[in-house]
Amino acid sequence: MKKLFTVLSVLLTLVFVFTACAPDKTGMEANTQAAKDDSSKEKVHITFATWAGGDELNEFQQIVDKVNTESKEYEIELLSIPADYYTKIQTMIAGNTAPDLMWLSQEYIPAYAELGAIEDITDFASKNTSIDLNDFYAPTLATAKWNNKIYGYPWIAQPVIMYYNKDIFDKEGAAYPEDITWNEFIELGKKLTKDTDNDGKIDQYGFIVNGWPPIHTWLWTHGGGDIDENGNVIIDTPESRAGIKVLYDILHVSKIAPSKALVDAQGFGEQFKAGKIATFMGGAGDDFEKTVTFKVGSTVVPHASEHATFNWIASTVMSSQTKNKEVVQKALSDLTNKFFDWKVVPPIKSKFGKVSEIRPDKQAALPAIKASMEFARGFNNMPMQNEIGTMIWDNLYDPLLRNEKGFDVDKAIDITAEELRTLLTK
Amino acid sequence: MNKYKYRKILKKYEGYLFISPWILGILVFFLLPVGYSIYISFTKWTILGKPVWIGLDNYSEIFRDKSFYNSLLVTFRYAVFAIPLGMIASFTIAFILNSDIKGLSFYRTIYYLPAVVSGVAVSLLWRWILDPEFGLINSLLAMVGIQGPGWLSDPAWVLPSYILVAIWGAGGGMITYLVGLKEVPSSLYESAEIDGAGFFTRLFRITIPMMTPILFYNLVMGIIGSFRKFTDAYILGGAGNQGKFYLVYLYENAFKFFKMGYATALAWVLFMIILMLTLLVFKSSSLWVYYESEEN
Repeated sequence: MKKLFTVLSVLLTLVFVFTACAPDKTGMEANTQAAKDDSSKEKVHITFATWAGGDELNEFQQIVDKVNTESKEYEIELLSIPADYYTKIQTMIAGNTAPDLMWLSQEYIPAYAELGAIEDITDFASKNTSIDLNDFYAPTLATAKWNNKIYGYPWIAQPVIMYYNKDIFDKEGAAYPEDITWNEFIELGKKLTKDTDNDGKIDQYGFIVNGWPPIHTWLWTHGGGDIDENGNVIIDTPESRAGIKVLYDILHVSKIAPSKALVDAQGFGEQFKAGKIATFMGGAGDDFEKTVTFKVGSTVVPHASEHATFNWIASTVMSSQTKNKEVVQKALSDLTNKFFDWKVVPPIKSKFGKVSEIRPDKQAALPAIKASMEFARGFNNMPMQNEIGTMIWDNLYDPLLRNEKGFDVDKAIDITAEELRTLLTK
Repeated sequence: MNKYKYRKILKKYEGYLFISPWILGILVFFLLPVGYSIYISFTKWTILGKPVWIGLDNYSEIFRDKSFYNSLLVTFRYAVFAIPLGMIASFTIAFILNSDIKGLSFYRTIYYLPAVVSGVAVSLLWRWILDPEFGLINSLLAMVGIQGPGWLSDPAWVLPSYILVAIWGAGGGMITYLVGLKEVPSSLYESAEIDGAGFFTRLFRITIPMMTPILFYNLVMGIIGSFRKFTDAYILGGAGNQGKFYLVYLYENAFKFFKMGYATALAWVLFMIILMLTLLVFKSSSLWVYYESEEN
């Protein structure tokens, strides 16, 4: 009896240990999966990692259901990772359980490509007749490339455009800021920044900035940048310095934007929505047209020697761990075509007409979005793009916004340039 | 093998079999990763590729890294303020809750609650409390005509914000102090009272000296906890890099900059720092920690 008890105890212990170590799939889930597998016999199972959650995920699921029904070759399963997306993706890749397809924001593509985590799809993309590479806005497609190879299809582009409160402009008798220069913008800002209730405090500002939009808005429009296409640091060129000084002027000389402390205390987009800010730079997909009570206008961001604006772009890429590469590439192409009818702004020129169908509220903003897409660009992304971004923020953008005692713009630019060069030579 | 011998062997090893899940757990989920992390700290590993041996490069790089010193300073400064203030707060709560007041169990539960709430939930709660526009603190300050600061957005207020969060959680440390206070022999207080000792004399001459082993324990745990600060720092952040604690910087290197080898080396450097500080406290304990048993 005692022996039987001992053997049973040991067996029970082993069962507990191994069930604890087994994959996290309950019996019910396993049955569901089995039923699913049975119904999609012969189909290749493809996993797709997305940061979409909530309503966006429901919309995405509908697209996937449609594609799954249309295809006889594959069945896509969505993996929703709304929080800590990149940490989880990287852990999955390290554990050899990478999703077959995944969304990547532009900054991550060179790093993932350089480290061999994502597949070069240049051959497939150049032969794929259902997506014409020439149809993409060139700077948009450039963000999906590394070392002249294509690693994914961009599926969304959100250029920064300038929204403005028409009511403020009308009240102050100022002309709408349609395609103006930075100098004109500053002069306009001075006119619109005022104490409207005579209590000694400014309560209406011409502009607002808090780390958004990216500092590149000023660098690029002055002919400068942070890093060029060849990986050279250009943040300390005269053009770049001129751009950064315009931003400094806006914040601390002409003072047409509230201080960082005030923005932190009273909100960023909230202040524009509350009618306290005359101009605001936001993504083309922002919904001010639906959410504010005043009349909203939109135009391209101001320019100096060049027209330029930041474009937030994400691509769908294929994992290099994926099996059945041909089928997964086909799924990538099919899904990407569906994305073009889903998101604002489609990254291909032929689908621009879809914007007003997808988002009827953006009808009035179409000219600004269309013009911006022609010169909108992503960063010249490098494999260490996150470090580059952190360095620029820590050494230049954040101190410039705060302008604490002893802050010197030129010195901050020099330090940033030096650190970037050290980083890029590593 | 006869039946008797078989039973003898089984008897000898059955204890090990019963604890085998624990042994397996500690081997697979603790000792192996710890051992592997030593190797990783000597490599260049991007997580997405294979580790490449680079010898001591990661360690030498750490001591040239400006951000390493910044994160260490942020963490050290926090520890210097948060540990003593947290200990004083915990001790005070325990001291009050050791008396005969009405609803004692209720108060003990309330003060202990922060210790059982998830760190993420607590951090999210504090993000709202510290919000400059809609936060509870600034709303209360506004009611008395004071414009509250940008707690996490003004670099000068980031450290006080974190100390505030730490003190709020001081109830969690209260339990050990409460046990210590119960252990102080009442005869000592009675004798002192007969000798005419007042409240403060009893506190500084009896209670605190008798509590030094508990204070010692909490000091060591406080040092370890402060240097391992991550959850609230990751969620709350802090302007001007004032919220970039050591572990946040380590996490950034591992998962944002793809420098897992470097991050692992940072983890081992942190281990050495904590070990040295702990040893220092242990070394000093003979000067200020009083053990009744040793006296006997």
